[in-house]
Amino acid sequence: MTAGRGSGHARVVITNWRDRKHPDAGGAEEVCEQLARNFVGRGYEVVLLTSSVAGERSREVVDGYSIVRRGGRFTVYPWALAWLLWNRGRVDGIIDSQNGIPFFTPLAVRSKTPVLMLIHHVHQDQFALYFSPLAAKVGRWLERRGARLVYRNRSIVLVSPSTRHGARRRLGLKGEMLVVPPGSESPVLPLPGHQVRADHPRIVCVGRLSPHKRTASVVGAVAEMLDDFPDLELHLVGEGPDRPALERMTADLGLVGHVTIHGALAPSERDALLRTAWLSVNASEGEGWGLTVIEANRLGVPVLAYRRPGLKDSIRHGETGWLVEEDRPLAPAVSAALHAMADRSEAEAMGTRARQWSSQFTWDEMATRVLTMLRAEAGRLAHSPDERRTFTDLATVVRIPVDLLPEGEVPTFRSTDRCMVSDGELVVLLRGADTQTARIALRRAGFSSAAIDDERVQIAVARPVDLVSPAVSAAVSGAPRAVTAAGRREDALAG
Amino acid sequence: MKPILERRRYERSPYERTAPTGFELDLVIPVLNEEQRIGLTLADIHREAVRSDLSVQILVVDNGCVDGTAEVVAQAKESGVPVEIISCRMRGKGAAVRTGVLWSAAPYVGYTDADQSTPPSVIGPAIALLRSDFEVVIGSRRCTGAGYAVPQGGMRRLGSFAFRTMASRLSGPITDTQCGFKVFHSQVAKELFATSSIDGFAFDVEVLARARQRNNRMIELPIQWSDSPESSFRPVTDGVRSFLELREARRSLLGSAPSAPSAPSAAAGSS
Repeated sequence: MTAGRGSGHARVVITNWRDRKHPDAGGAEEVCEQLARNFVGRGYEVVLLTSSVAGERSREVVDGYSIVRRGGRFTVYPWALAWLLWNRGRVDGIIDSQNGIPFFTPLAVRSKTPVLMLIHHVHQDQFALYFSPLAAKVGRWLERRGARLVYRNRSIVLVSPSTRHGARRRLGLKGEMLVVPPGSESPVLPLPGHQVRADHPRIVCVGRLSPHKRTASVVGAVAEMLDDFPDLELHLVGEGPDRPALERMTADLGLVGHVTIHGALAPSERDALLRTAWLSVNASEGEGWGLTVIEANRLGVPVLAYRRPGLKDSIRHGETGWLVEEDRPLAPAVSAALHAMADRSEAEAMGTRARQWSSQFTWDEMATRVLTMLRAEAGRLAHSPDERRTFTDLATVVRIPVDLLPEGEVPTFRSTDRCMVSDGELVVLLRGADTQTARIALRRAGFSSAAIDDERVQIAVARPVDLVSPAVSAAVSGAPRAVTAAGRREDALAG
Repeated sequence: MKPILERRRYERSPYERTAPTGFELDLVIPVLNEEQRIGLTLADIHREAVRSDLSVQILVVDNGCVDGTAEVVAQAKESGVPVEIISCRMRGKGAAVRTGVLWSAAPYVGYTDADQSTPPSVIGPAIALLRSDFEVVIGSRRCTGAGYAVPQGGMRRLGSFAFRTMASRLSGPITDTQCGFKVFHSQVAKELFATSSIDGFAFDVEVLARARQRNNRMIELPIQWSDSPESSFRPVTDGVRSFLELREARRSLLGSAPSAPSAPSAAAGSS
């Protein structure tokens, strides 16, 4: 799959059940839109297949990519397959975005056309919340067994290590998996000192007001904390079905004046409010990754959440926010975090780390890695099934001081490996390598045996955080932990 | 169609460590998604080692985890548990244990399960047997003095019986080949594992049969076993595979030693 093939540009099709103009659009829609835009910027022709939206045209071109809207919530799937079948000769690659039910695009395209299933999170537990028992059973079957039957060994992109865990363990999907966290469009706030946070404790929460997000528990926690923080404010940004209930709850608990529900805000207004926060709280049952976590971090605002899927990947406990253990109540944890943030220097250090951590997640990086995987998948499919390389979920992180780099040549790794320089070290994430074969990969890359055996070279099994950020994770979490009062509070949160 | 088991001879890794690490025993724990259990297991083994004044390093071998196992191990290491983690690309308990044994640099090496079905209290007696010149110490749930603290289910017991009957043709009078705890003199273990070819759950049978062929001094050590409900052994898939591996082990052993295996010099219960 190459850009600029033959007479026209290579055509990438993205399938997603909604697009950004859908009233219920969320994070998955933003990911698809950003990928589409980015691919166009790289010379690809991009088509987004999605469902109809009242008042919107069935075909339009936005930012250089085409949107084809057909069908409704359920009929969009056969419509997309029909479109692909009709155009199968002119499709060079597919990003099949799964929102519970995948599009089963391998059924409609040629066996050599690369398809990447994109999974945000696993929905097995959610079908029952929205559908009748029978429909929920069908949904669970389609996401798990149906997907296994149709996608077989096709490669999969997942937005976080948690999602990979769910896709492998709960869905039992077989394909090679690549973790690629989404980017963020929010500007990274300049260095500390510019931060304009409110004078009194302020919590800003961004996200849909739906049962899954458990925003009511944050409102409840505020009521419990008023003795400790009499001038505490909670601002909720976002719309959703829970809004009336939250408004009633605010009135019933006598929190008018403390809790403000803003509804949906334009990104600039949202950011202006968010940057004044001391803290953001995400009480959600789980996320794919936590786009809103990264958006808050970019403005120097740490995020507190339960140690749940996605959030445990996007938050570095004690560094960029706090992770609360599942069986702990929310109010004491939020209270401890606010006390920590009351210390100006502690708040500034936290803000700096949050900005550092979040600034690495860009849409450009995500698009690069997804395209690399799409090309690798095309390469894999070009071989006959017997010749295809076996893969493993293992990865190895290698750290090599730059003075050990081979002289006069640049070490070369596979396109799906990641390689970066951080703090005088070359950090390489070798996908599919174990701690033994990593040494062979280093040899192939041009390192001498003496360099590989140097005692300063570290070869370690990749942890989930290394898949997200092999270099920055070391820089952020490698910072010595000062034993301060705030530090002890953090430990209390963790314990 | 691809054969279920590919015939393959293990090649000694050119990166085996030789420098001693100062520990008397390297205890290998193969893991596949053990985030929930490995932390407690590491802490318990360490506590037992400190209590009994044993010099034990734990060697965790990641066999393709997609959870936070590596993170939990790193935390345990930070908190003072002598543990290292390496990984093994080849899937299977046998392959993972082999990688750990070959990586080990202590005079004694052994392996145990991540779920503590074998209690850590047996490590001390096992080391004592190694010191008294036994080369292979085999944890057993069936020799005199052994038993089940938490018994296995009926189907699993039936499968075990069938497997044991078949395996006894290779392993001889050893009462239990499949208990997940065994320790060796390191040099003996390295020679046994370097020539072993079974990557799955039946690897123990091949290793013990090879030890019999070589007349290594073996002894069984009684274990109070606690069956784990969340074992990574899938009775149907892994059960069938284990039987196929037994057949493969038999072929491999016949190929490597034309003469009939002799009885082990010390395969009596330690009671």
